[in-house]
Amino acid sequence: MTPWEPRTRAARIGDRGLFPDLEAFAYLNHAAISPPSSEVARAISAVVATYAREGVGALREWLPQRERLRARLGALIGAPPERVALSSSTTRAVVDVALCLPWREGERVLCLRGEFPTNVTPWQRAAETFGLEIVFLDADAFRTPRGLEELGRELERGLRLVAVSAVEFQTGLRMPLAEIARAAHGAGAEVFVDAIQAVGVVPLDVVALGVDYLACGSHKWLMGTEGAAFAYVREGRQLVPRVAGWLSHEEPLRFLFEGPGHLRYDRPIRTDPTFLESGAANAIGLAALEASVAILGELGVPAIFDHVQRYHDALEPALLERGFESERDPRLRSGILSVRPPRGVELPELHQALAERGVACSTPDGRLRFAPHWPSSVDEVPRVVEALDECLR
Amino acid sequence: MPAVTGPHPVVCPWCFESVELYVDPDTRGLFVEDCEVCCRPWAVHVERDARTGEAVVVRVDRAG
Repeated sequence: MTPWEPRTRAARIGDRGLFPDLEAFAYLNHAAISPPSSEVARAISAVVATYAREGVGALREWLPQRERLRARLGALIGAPPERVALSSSTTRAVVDVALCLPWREGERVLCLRGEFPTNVTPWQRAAETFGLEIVFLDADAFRTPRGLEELGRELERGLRLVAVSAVEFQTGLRMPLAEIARAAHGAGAEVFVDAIQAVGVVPLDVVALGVDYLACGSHKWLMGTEGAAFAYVREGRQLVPRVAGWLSHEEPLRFLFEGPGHLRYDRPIRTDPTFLESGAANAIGLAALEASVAILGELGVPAIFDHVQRYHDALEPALLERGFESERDPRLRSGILSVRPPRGVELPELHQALAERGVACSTPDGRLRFAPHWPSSVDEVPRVVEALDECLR
Repeated sequence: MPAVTGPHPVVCPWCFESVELYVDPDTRGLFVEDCEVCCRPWAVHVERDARTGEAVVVRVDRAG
C-alpha cells in the first residue's frame, strides 16, 4: 500500500486553510519561494517515515511515486509523461539540455536581456564549450510587434535555438511563445523555455505552443520545495547524453535486485529524456512536488489564473492612484503584477516596511513585485492597500 | 521534384552522432536504415505536411 495519497479536497481557491503557520497576512511572493502547504508537509513526513522504518525498502514505495509525478507534471503542461524527466532545479535542467544538444560549431543562440540568469549562463557556457555565438534581444521588446520583428531578423541571419522564459521574472510579461515558436520553426530553429514563472499559474500546453525543450523548478508557482524540478523534451528531439550517469542506462537496477551476472557497463543509454535522471534523486523534494501538483491539478490552472487576475485587478488601481507605474500588460498577463515606484519612494525601505506589516512581496531590479497564488484571498487586498498607505506616509 | 529531400539533421539513438539524413520525396511513415557511423539500425519516421508534401517530422528511434 502506498504510504501517502493526495488528499486535495481541503484545497479551495482563496482559502489558506492549508497554510496554518504562514505569518504574513498577505503572502505575495509565489514568484520567489512558496511556503509548503500542510499537504506538502504531510507528503514529506511520509517519505521520511518510510525511509526511517524501512531504509532501502522505502524505494519500493517511492520509485512508483516518480512515475505518478511524471504523469501529473505532463498533464500540467500537455506533455506525454515519457517526455518528462525529473530534475533538481531549473538551472540543472537548463544546464543539462545546454550540454546535451547536438551542437555544431558556429551555431547561434538567442538569449533575452532582462531575463533571470538561469536562462542565460548555461547557454554562455555551452557557447564556450561548443564554439557557439550568443546574441541578445530585449525581452521587453515583445510587449509590441517589435519583438517578433527583431526575432525575425535574427532568424534570417540564422539561429539554432531561441532561449526564452514563459514569463519574465521582473515585469511579469507573458511571452508570446506560440508566435516565437512558429517563427523559429519556420526558420529551422528550436525553442527552449524556462517556465518557472508560469507553470502552476499560467495555462501552458507545450504541444500546442510548439515548445521543443522546457525546464521548470518546483519552489515557485508549483508550490513544492527547493531542490526538485523537471525538464520536457519534445518527441523526436534527441539529446546527446553527455551528462548521463549510472541510472541513465536501460535496466540500470537489474544488477542490484536480480542476482549475479547483471553487472554490465555496456547497457545502452535510454533515448528518452529520463536519461537526465542520472543519479540518486531527491525523494523528499519529489514527494513534496507531487503533493503540491496534485492540488494544482484538482483546482485547475485556468481557474487559478482567473483568481490571480481578480487579485491583481483589485490591487493594481490602488497602486496606480498612488503614483506607481504598472508593468502588467493587458494582453500578456501572468501571475506577476510588477510596478515601478513613484519618484522619492525608496524600494528597500518600502519593502521592509510592508514586510513588517504582514505583506510579503519582493523587489526585483527596481520593481515592487506582487505574486499571489490560489490560497491568496482577494478580500485581503484592502488591508494590503492600508499597509501600503501606512508605509508611504 | 528533387530526387531526395534533406538534409534532415538527426542524432543516432545508438551512438548519438549527428548525422544528416536524406529521404526520398515520396517516402512517408516508417522505414529502417542503418546509421552511417555505427551501422546499427534506425527506425526512421517521416511525417509530411498534408498541403505541401514537405517532410516536417523526421524522427529516428532504435530498431532491432
